[in-house]
Amino acid sequence: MTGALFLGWRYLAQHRFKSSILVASITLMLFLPVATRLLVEDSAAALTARADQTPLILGARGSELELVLNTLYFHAESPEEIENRAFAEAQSTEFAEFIPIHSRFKAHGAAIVGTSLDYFDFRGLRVANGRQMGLLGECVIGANVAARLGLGPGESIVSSPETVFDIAGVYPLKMTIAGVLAAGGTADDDAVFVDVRTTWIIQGLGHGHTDLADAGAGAAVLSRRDDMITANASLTQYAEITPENISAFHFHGASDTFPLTSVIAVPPDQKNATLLRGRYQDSELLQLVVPGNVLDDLLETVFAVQNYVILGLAILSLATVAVITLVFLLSQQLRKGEFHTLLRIGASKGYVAVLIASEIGFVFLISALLAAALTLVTRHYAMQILQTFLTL
Amino acid sequence: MINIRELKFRYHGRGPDASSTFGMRVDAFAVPQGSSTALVGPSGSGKTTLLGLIAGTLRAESGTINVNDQAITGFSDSDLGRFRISNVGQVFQAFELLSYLTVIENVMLPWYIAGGGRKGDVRKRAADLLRGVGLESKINARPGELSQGEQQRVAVCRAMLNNPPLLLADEPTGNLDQENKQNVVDLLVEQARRNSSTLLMVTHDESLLNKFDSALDMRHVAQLLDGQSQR
Amino acid sequence: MIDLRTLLVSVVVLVAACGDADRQATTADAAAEKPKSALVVTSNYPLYFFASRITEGIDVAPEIVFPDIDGDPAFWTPGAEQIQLLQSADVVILNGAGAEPWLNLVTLDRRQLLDTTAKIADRLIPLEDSVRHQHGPEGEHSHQGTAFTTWLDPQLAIAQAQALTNAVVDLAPAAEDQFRDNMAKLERELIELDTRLAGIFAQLEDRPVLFSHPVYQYLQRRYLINGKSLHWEPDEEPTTSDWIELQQELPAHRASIMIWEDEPLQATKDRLAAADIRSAVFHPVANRPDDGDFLSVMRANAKRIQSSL
Repeated sequence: MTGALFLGWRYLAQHRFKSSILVASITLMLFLPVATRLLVEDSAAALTARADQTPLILGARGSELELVLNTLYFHAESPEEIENRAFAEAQSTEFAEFIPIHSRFKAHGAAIVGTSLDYFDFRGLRVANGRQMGLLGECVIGANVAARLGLGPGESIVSSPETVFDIAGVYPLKMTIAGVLAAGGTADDDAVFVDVRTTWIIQGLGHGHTDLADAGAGAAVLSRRDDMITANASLTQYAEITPENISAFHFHGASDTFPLTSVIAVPPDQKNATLLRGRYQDSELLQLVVPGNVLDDLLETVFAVQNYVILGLAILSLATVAVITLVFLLSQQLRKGEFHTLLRIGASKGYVAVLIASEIGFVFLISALLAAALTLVTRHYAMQILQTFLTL
Repeated sequence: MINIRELKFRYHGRGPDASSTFGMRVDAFAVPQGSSTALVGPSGSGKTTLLGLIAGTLRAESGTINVNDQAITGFSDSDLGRFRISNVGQVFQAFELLSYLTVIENVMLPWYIAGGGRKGDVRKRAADLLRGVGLESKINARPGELSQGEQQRVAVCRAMLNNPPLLLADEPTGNLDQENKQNVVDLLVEQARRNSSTLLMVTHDESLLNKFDSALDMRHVAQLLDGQSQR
Repeated sequence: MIDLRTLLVSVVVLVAACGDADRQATTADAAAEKPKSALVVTSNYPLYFFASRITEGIDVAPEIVFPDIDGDPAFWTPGAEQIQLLQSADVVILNGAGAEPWLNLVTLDRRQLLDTTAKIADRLIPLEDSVRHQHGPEGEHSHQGTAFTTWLDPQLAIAQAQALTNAVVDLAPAAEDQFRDNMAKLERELIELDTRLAGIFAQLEDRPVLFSHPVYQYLQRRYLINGKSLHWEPDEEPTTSDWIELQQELPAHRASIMIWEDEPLQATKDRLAAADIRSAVFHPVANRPDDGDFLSVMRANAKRIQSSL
């Protein structure tokens, strides 16, 4: 019967175009439902892991999902903001460790995340190249940002204006890269981390300029009276914080009013978590959410959609099987003469059956192998695919 | 070599041919061992049917067929298949080569079907046969790249692969031009003689009859049944 | 010829042996390494001195480090390496009272920081003469807030040293008694200094004094010194307007002594002497002295003031 397999294989090889289409169709038919399930499960696991790792998030009252997604994935274009006062008040409760997050701005498509050093310990992030940020205006960048933009320690990255016409508000700040984080396969790989005060400088709440009290301030001074100096519009503000000009940087207004987009709360135990949740239950301005619960709701929807997608794929598969069956039947019809010849020469009916089966068998075998290979590749690169997809 | 006694055969059409039937009776028919015989007769006289019965691709209702001292009328389908592979080489009017095999693979087809012998030896035998018919340079070509005459020569080589004692050819020259007709028939007769095989060939072409030891008119071999007349 | 089986067995044994050797080496290295002591970094020299005295002679004490700073630590902006040192510290001992404006510019873990004047905030002196400036819609503002040379008041220095002791005890609780013994000894020396300075400044009997720079607020308050501050640099010649400002002050504040942060130029001294104003140096000792230590410098300061009276 190996002769029949040989003839079957040669037939397929001779009709490459038809065989390729059949293989491609069956491969997709086998692979797509598996890949869908794989990606959904992996993304759900990744979402869940990151959410479960984050006990509580404090933010502006409103969409819980937006709050969680922006805190975990730095996703929102115009996130709701809370005052820094909320962070200070939360800290004063001593119910948890609190980590400020201000992620509103971007630099070359990467989210700029203003935070504290606690964030790095919390997420287990490690500087792989260079050092941790030290001065205002310094940043550490995620591994993917470094790779995508070809940047490393000592180089700089400029924040992007929010709109083309945003002249007087958010202005580009050139930030020095202190270090590059080790890749972690999370959203942190695609972010630029700065001290939260640096984001306030980007927002225009702080700036650096020549000392107006200096006699040499010259043309930038509009008026001096007693102990009050008023500057005019020609005052040059620094677009980059350097060791030479850093002492000239300062903030205006009360820091309590400065914005954050959220605060991550890490209570030491369930009791403190409960006390903390109780504190914000009736707040009109703030909400404290459990990211895991919020994403569970989202994932329920995702899994429901997945099931519909797989159902759709299954129906499509039925149609594909029908078409493939038709193709095979037509193929057998066309080969009737060939089978008749083989029988006349002396082949048994069993031999011809094996020949027919080998055509189908080889196609399915190759398709199964390709689908398995694609599944393995997808499984291996699932997180990169998901991250690319999530950051698009 | 071939001995037929009291043979009765009937064929009933199926499907669209349900209304067509064909029946014939052969009282006695014999072809001597090692001879070359041309089988002539009008269309519908049962020439192809007789070849089919001798090859075992058709079953008689009654009677006996002995080929090479084997009473094939009692064989099962699988026995008949094995019988044909080893004992009968067939050449068809439409060549019936497999387009997806090379020339040499087509010649080796009986080995691909039934095995027997090492592949290297079989391949060498096939190459020798092809060399013998002047197709040495085309062993890796596909049938579609050959002329009709070349294709029929390949078919002859295929028929000869297992050194069959019986060679059946059903109008092998039907699709060939005059020159190739002569060449193919010469080849068949030559192969049969060289191999001491018995050759029985159906033909309409009277110009070829002188190449055979004898010629039989089907009207004298078989009687049609149920009033079918031989045209 | 070695057969394949023997070769494979040899490779397996060799690899296992290497792994074992690695483990033994690691164990030996681990045995040879002592556990690292905690690291304490101070933001100015007086705190470094206090911390060094409190941890003196105690094996398990944390390592005390004061970074190399050029000039006044209150105007220091740490460089990259110094920031890394600060970030790696278990505790960063701060003076507080606005002595570390660089804190606003540097990213540190807030849990590392100990403000030694946080608990005596009610005893800090707010500054009044600050320059305000205005630009843009945010309105006027200034950048100074509190006098920060708290260590010049030995009583406040003791409170700072106490806060420091508590931090060091948290890092090495096993040596608490020893730390507190050292602190008690330091406290006695600071009290002795306080008594001596009180006695010396009491001799002024409320006579006016000039200070070359506004860094003596806590000294002034502690010893009830009738002082006024100028903005003169010891290594620079006062400008004409500086002399005019002095002339304008003198009628209402007839000082006979000007207390300088460092030795002034001879020409300045001479001109002051011509105005019957003696110069005396009282080092604020914010940074590491060339000779001696905090207490020896303060005692020398006391001696110089005594001599000038």
